[in-house]
Amino acid sequence: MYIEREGDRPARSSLEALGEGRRIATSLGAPLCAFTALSPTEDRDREISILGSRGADQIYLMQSPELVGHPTWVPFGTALYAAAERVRPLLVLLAATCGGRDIGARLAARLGAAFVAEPSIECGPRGEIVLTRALYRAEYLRRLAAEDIRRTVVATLTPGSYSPASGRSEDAEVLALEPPSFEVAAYELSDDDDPDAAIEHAPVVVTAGAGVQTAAQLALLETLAEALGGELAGTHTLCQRGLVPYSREVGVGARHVSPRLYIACGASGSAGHLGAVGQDTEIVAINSDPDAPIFRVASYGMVGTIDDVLPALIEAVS
Amino acid sequence: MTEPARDRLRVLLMVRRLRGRPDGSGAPEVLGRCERAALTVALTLRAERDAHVTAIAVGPARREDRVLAMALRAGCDAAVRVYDKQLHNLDYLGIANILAAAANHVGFDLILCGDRSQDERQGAIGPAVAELLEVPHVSSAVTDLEIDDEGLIATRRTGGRIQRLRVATPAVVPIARFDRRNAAVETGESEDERALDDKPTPSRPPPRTLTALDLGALGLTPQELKHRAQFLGRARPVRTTRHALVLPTAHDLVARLREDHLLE
Repeated sequence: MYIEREGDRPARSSLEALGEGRRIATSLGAPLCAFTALSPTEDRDREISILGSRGADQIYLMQSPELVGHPTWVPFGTALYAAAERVRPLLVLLAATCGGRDIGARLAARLGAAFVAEPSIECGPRGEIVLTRALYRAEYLRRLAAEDIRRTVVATLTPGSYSPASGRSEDAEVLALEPPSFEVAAYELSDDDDPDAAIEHAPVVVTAGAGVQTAAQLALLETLAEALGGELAGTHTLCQRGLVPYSREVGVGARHVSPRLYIACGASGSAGHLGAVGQDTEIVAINSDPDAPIFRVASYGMVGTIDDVLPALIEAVS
Repeated sequence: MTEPARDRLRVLLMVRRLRGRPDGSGAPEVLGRCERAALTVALTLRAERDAHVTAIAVGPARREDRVLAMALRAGCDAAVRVYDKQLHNLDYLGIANILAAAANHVGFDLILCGDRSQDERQGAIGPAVAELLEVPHVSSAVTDLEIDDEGLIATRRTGGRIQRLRVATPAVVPIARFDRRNAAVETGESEDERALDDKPTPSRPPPRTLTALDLGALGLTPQELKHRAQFLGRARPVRTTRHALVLPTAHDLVARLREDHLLE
């Protein structure tokens, strides 16, 4: 399990993935190794105590002055590769953040491993691991059984979809790793706040689809989002129309979200849009077309126009 | 294939026909969102820095020629398709091996691709090609890519931060998204493309602009790649009659969401 860091501590998405790793390791009876890379000025004891209490059996720790900033392949990915060479893992897990996706796929290529992005992982009674993901508008499932391929599998896990493990009291074994030499080819010039990133962590997201035509209709969605403590987002079409900024676009390659509740207003449910919504999210579809494909993906729905449904919905939640 | 002048920036654009089903049939559009963003970046570099852009795809003519024809009509200088009928269902690394060999064959300063496809959504090809070519990569870049004499500057949004990275070239940059409305090429070009999407277009581009290569031309054999098929996993259709629970009024909907603990 690769631990990505946020500021001076493990990122929440990595602790969630570590929790899922704990579940998998326990059902397989295998050790869960956490790999963390720190600069020498960081508090290694605190890192060890966090990772140990969150489920790691072994902590592989690497410290080097180069191991700072957001994860890029060099140095963080090459550091993880050095750890993977040592551990020879059956399964490597990373949170599917920008950095985790960057590192995971390249690590898989260097190991000649299989790579599966954001699957659900099941463990069978005889220690088998099956990775499954829904594709093609969730009309297909792709399934890979790890024992069929007898090779390492690298998988990324969707942020926000798992719970961190808690309250373990056993001490994790700590192993210090020597850093390899790093030939850094990409370095950070600047790192600024991303003001609309709140969408990615909001418990409720209200999204405007192509059926939202006017700023007045969009304002209704915004009021609903506010009333629910959520965030307003738009599909690609709405961003192209200039009604919603691209920084608030939910879509494959744009914002990927996995809120508890996702309210899609006037969206047909294209693969490019819903491919960016987490598999465990409950979708509410509001669309004037009762045959819109989104009703086959959503859990709840209402048939009606934005102008009819939204004011009533705002009133009902207030 | 036209050879680019030596002093031109050589951009390789790895494209892939969007698929509606795992067998490649039934796609609603030709290009996925990220591929469209990557094409936009390639054409911006062509317009602003006189880059020579070669579009490249792996797969059979009946599937991939349409996407290459679109790339050529949109302004790419050349197109290359690699295919061997013995190869089916290769995983990301099998495909990346072919693309990396093709990149070496064609020559490149910068490789662009979509950050992830809209159908399979793996996003592994770009990083894997970079690994095989031993060049840096930065995934999930936005369309505002800057190039100067020292290399390139890529911007990406990650973990609540907007990160600008200086990357040495040659490099692989998977493009995720548009970040600005009305970027010079974006609007006009994507509208053109959509118009092309709607027209019945010939499935094959003019033969002089598309080069078809087999694995032999790249120094590869089907035998060395075939084993990568087992790492893809099996796709099967989901038989579902699922339909949303449609509530008649807003009050019913909110009551139901509260009952199911989705709203407070």
